Amino acid sequence: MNPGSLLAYRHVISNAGPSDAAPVLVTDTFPSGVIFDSAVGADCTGGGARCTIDRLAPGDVITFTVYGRTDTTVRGTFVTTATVASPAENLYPDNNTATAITTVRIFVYLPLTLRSYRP
Amino acid sequence: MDIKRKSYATLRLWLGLLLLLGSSAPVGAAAAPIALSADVFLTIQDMPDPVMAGAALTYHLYVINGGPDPATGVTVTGVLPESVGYETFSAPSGVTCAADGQALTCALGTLINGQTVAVDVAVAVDPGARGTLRFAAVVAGNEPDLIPANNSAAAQTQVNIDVNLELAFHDVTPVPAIAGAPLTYALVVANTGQSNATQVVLTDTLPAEVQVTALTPDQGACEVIDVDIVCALDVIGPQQVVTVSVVMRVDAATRAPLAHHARVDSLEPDAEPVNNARWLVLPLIARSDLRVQAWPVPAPIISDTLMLEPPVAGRPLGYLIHAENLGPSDANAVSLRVTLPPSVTLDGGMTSTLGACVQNGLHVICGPGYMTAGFSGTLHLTVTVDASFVGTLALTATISGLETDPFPDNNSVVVTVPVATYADLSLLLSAPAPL
Repeated sequence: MNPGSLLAYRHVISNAGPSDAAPVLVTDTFPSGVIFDSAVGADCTGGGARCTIDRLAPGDVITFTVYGRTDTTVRGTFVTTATVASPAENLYPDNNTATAITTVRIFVYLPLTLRSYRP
Repeated sequence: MDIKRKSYATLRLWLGLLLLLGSSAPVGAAAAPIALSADVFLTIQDMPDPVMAGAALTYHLYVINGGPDPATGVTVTGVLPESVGYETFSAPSGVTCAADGQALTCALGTLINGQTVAVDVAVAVDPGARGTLRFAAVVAGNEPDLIPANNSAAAQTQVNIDVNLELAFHDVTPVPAIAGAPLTYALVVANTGQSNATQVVLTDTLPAEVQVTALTPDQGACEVIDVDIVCALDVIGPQQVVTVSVVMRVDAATRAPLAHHARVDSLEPDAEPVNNARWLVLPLIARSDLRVQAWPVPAPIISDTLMLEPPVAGRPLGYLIHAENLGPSDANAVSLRVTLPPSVTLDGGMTSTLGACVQNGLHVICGPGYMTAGFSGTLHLTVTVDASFVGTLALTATISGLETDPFPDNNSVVVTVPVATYADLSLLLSAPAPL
């Protein structure tokens, strides 16, 4: 992708219970050079993304997308981390964090024109 | 009463003859000394006669010197009846009396010719005396007594009986009696007569609704024969009071007044039979201390093990409700009402030993109905806590019955339990796709 591109991060949050999780807070940690742009399906705010879901009952699954925008300094491979949490105690925290790896390739358009000069 | 008398005229005749014979002695012969003599004699009066066993009796002793000479060293000796005790004497100055056991001795000193000395000897008749009392005494002096036949006298006293037994119920506790509770009282027998009452028998006819648990007589022995307490109290002396302490348990189911009838009798006729029998009619009340307790327990496996971990929203929770009648009376129309927290669903069933239970919304009502004193039962409820619940659950259990409850504070219980929330959240994050 090119610098300045939008990155779409799709989040799938589920609650295996037994209690409701309310509220549910999802936090995305973007790498340097990526900033929060917008979200669809959840109320989110930036710099990283902090998204809030009012309630997630046992068995519920919610999907939303967070958009991040790259700047011109982004290079190479970077990692985005997302974490979900709620006031309810989580007996299995290992699946509360997920990562996404992205590689930024730079496309530079350098046109070359050959002209002849007569001395 | 015996009175011994001697004709003083006869005595004077004998003395005259002796003087005439003395004057006929030859003239010039040496005069022989004239021997002194005195005819002392004794009479005894008993007062009163008849006398009550246990009462005072006085012997009036009259000692007379019939002369002709003064009588010196006059003493009266006698043996008091076995059933009397010497008390005191009354006599003119110079006269003394003393008793050594039943042996009575009175020293009268000198009585001149014609002198009479009266001595009153007071004795106490034994309360157990029966029949006739005989007191015999003899008077003697230093001088020869020409008529010794009148020196002794005796009195026979008829003994009558004065027994008056009275019976009363004392210290009846509690009043009114309480169904199922101990009832204590004292049967008090008093003898207000003067004589011993013998072979005293006390009988207390009990109502059928009591059971004797302890009998403690001051004396004698008691036993329960059918519905009677029968006490053989032996001898009750004058002014003596004998108490029989009674402890019994009133049947927990009875509601009728308790009627006791007691009477006391002895071998002797009673001076006032009307107070020998008493009724005791006790009003009776019922008191049932109903108690309910409740605990959260693990679920779905219902057990009486208390929860060590807090219940979790979205998971089953058990409640153990324990209801009992601590008595003392049986309880009627007993109802247990359980109000569930609004954030639970009774979906795991209920198991009751407290009669049939029905659910009506948040309420579970069980009707054990009749609960004997000491009965206890349980109700197990299995509910599921709403997954969305956060906070503390409060379950209320209330038990009520027809009888008055002496300790109403334990008729209702609110069991609160904080609820934990466990949410196993998981997150999937897709690698971004460039747009």
